[in-house]
Amino acid sequence: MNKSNINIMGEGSSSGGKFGRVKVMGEAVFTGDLKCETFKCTGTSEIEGSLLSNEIKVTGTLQLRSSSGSPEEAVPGVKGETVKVTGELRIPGGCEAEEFKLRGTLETGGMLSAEDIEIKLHGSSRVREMGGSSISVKSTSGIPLAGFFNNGGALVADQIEGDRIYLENTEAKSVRGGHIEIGPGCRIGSIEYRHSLQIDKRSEVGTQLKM
Amino acid sequence: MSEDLISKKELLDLTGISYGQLYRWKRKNLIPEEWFIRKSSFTGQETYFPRNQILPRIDKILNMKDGLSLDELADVFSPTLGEVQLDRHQLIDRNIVSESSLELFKEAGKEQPYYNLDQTLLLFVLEKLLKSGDITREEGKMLIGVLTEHYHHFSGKPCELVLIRKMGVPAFLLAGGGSELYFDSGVKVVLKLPMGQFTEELKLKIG
Repeated sequence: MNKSNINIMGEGSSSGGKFGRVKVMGEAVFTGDLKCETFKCTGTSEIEGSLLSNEIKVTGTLQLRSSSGSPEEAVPGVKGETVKVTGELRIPGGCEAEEFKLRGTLETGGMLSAEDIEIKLHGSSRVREMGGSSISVKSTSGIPLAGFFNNGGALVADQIEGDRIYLENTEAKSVRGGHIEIGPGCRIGSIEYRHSLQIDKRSEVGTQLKM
Repeated sequence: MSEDLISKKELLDLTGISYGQLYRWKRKNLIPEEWFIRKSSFTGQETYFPRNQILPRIDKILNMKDGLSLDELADVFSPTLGEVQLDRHQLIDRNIVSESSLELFKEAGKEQPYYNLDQTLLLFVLEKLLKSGDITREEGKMLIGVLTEHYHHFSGKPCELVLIRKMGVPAFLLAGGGSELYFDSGVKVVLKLPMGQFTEELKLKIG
């Protein structure tokens, strides 16, 4: 079966469904789960449901929302092979990918799980949990923000777990991993590491434990 | 019957796998979501797993992953069965079922020219349990009954097959995955097996 493509230029909406390539330039609203091979958006997309796509590329904003009629347990999430976002990504549920790259702000209510997670912070971000092989969170401004007064480019997370972790401007309750490097501007409750740990002197760490 | 749990930390130490592998396998559905049991501890949140399920599963993944891609592995572990039709000769040739189990199936009035996967699974479970000596032929007929009538309710969700006996009277039941069961003291639980175990084995035999 040949899946149809969908192009939205300017302003438009779709009820969601299964597609080949989905391309948005402008503003689009999808009023249901969206399943497609590639999802490319320049502008703003709102999906009232989940997004499942091999390749997801967003320049602008992608926001997922649960539709008003859906049962409570269906929390919209994103699943893809590669997810690349420049801008804003807001997901009530979780996000799963092999490659996850984001430059901008991120808000997920669930777990962000990917082989490779690369985040360049621009504005305040919030993730409940992060897990993967390699996780890197960097602030975009060259000068790390001193102190925590300025929430301009910071990430708040409950838990971060990975084999190789590098963090900047991150506030987390617990970080666990193999090789951990805590860059400047972090406040971490507890760290558990297996192989190596480096902590920048401009960061605060509660407890640290080698396993 | 509180389940024996293993913490994520302990699991990684014991098996030598990394956080990355664990998360990758979870993404690929090699490890089901419901095995991740979250509990809060003094250092924040800690994740636990049912020890008797996670350890053999990781062992299988590590031992099979060279031959199969992760997606193929996921198919093996998924509790749903695909589409297959086998006749009795194929079933016997592939060592899935023996003549005597088929005979019992016939006695129960369920004989078919072709068996789809659900029915093949039923035959396979019957065969395994008869062979291990856990059930009698009479109980085998009850097993056929309970599986034909109720297994479809779980449509792909994990469930467990339980056999109890009280005063020599047997009863079969199917319970949703992870549910706890308690009986009065006169009841002996003869077996309590996840159906997923049978589907995995069967898929390896068919595939």
